[in-house]
Amino acid sequence: MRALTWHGIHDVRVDTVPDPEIVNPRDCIIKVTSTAICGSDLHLYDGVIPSLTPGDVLGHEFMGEVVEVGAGARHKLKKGDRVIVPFTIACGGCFFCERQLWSCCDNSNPPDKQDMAEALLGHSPSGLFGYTQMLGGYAGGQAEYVRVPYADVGPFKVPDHLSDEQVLFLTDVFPTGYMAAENCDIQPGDTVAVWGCGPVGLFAILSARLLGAEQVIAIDHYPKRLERARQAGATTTLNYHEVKVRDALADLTAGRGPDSCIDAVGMEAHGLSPDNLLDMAKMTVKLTTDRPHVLREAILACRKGGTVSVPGVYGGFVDKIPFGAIVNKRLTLRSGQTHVMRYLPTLLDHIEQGRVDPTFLITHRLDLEEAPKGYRMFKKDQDEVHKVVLRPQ
Amino acid sequence: MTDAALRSTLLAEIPPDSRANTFLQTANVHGPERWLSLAGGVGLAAIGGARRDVAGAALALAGAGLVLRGLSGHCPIKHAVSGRDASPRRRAAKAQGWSSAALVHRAVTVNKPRAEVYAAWRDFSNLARWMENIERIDIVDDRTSHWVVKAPLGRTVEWDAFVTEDVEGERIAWETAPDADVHSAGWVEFRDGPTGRGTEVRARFAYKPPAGQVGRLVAKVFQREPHVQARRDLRRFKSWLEAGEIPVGHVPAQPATPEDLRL
Repeated sequence: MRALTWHGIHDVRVDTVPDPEIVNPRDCIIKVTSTAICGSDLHLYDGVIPSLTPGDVLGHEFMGEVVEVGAGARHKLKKGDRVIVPFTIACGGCFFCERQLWSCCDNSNPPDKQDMAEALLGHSPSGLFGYTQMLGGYAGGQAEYVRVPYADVGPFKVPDHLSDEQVLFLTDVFPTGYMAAENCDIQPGDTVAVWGCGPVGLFAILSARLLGAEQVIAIDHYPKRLERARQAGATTTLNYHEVKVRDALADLTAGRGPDSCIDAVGMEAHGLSPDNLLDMAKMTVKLTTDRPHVLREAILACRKGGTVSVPGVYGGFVDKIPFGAIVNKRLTLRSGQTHVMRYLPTLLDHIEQGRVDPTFLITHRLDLEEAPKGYRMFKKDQDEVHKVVLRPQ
Repeated sequence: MTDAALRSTLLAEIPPDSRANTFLQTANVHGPERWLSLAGGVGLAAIGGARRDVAGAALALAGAGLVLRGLSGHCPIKHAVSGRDASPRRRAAKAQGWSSAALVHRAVTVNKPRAEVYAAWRDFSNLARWMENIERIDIVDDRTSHWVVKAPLGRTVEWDAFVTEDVEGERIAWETAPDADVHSAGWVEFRDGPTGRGTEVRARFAYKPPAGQVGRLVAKVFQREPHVQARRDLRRFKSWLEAGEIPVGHVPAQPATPEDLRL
């Protein structure tokens, strides 16, 4: 089959690789009909997340048709089912899965991969599709076919009257943005500030409104992304090239600060703030793993007793976090890979009832063969390119 | 060799090997001695550094050694003179009558009732399903099994193992026969976790490294070292019970067939 494979920094190719096969009884094989490039794939593209090996198949936002089901998953799935596949892999039987903390699954990261995760993170989180050897080495979804483990837990059937593009983002970015907003525990009258108006940020904005936020402030520096943020429901947008973010936030909240701050940017912040320039220099010589400018700003901007919610991806040991502010302002810090399965019925209902149309963020549709071009475009022009959807032919 | 009960007592005193390997565990310089060592070392190094001759270099070197001793809290000389027999590994070796011993300790929580977890382990015909690197295990009788295990460089090692203690639902202890390729003795314990936390499984064993401590390091490089193996095998045991199968992430790439390449 054809699949998008990683070969090094800014080097991804569509190669012919072996078709996946059923390995374990609870596996199934999906024939991919639509898949997307995620903003977090750019971290892999940039080589800032460790433990990819050349030839790894990327992609964790994918959906398609079930073409083969192992004996252990037949009670839930059958050939021909049309499903979206959550990017977090979960066994369904461990302590965490029982409590719907799916992205913390104890078992889906294979035993030999957990060593590295334990060394770097303390404990191993769940395995992910197409997202490094440390998180399982599972072949990803930017491919014609994918092997899906624990197929009786993850794959979620979607109704035929909804198009691929309407449901594809249930795999990751919609639930991720939703969980980021849910983590803010939004109360009547709340102001939520969202840094980063990529797909996760946009869904966080939209979800914050769904969950009752009165004011949602979107922060980015790309005019077209800020325009989309307004479409998604942001009441105010801030271009940090034009205004000082903390001054503007203080003004918009009359000195209180936003009740909740969402960092939907993560480890590769843009911008020419002094701290970010220093991080860029340190990152170049491998003295730091992340550029957490946004996290710092969100912590400092957040109102006392407020919540900082971090759906953005961070890789390692993050430098110079103003922890004193977390202590002295009694902030709540919440994060996590997304417990995708927990949100699917609710979010599908929002789509079916027409309250949310996720297709608004798609800017580019490419053939899977053109995936490397998709990565290049996405990396180069984030003002124009918001979401690239790939289709295998 | 001591009897099983005595050996159990001895092994019970042994702290987890992971701790035994760190400076923390082998710290033998404490309190004022440590601070004096540090301060004296800095002083010596400064005096030595100021003198531009051989004696100065020697003083500086001695100072650096004292600084290191102060920083790490570990003195190799003191250890060699007084601490040898106190080392857990040495105690285990002595108890077993081996020339050297390595210790493995690892615990895992399994989200299943204790009776089920114990039964899954006690049925030795299951072991090869979740233990890696097992070529085969022949069940001789209820207490005896014959093991053929993969070793580095494509070799295998074999031994007979005897159950020396079996307390239903709680504990299984074993030791290997005197003619084993690799000698080991140890046990696995099963306890109820706190409410809703399943069963706590603790495995602890001592083994005689086939080629001494150097061989142990070589085996580690090949990831066939028992410590690495125990860690992974316990995870596999847990997965097998909780998920009914052992996860496989990266499927080693087979070379594409000509048919694949035609696509």
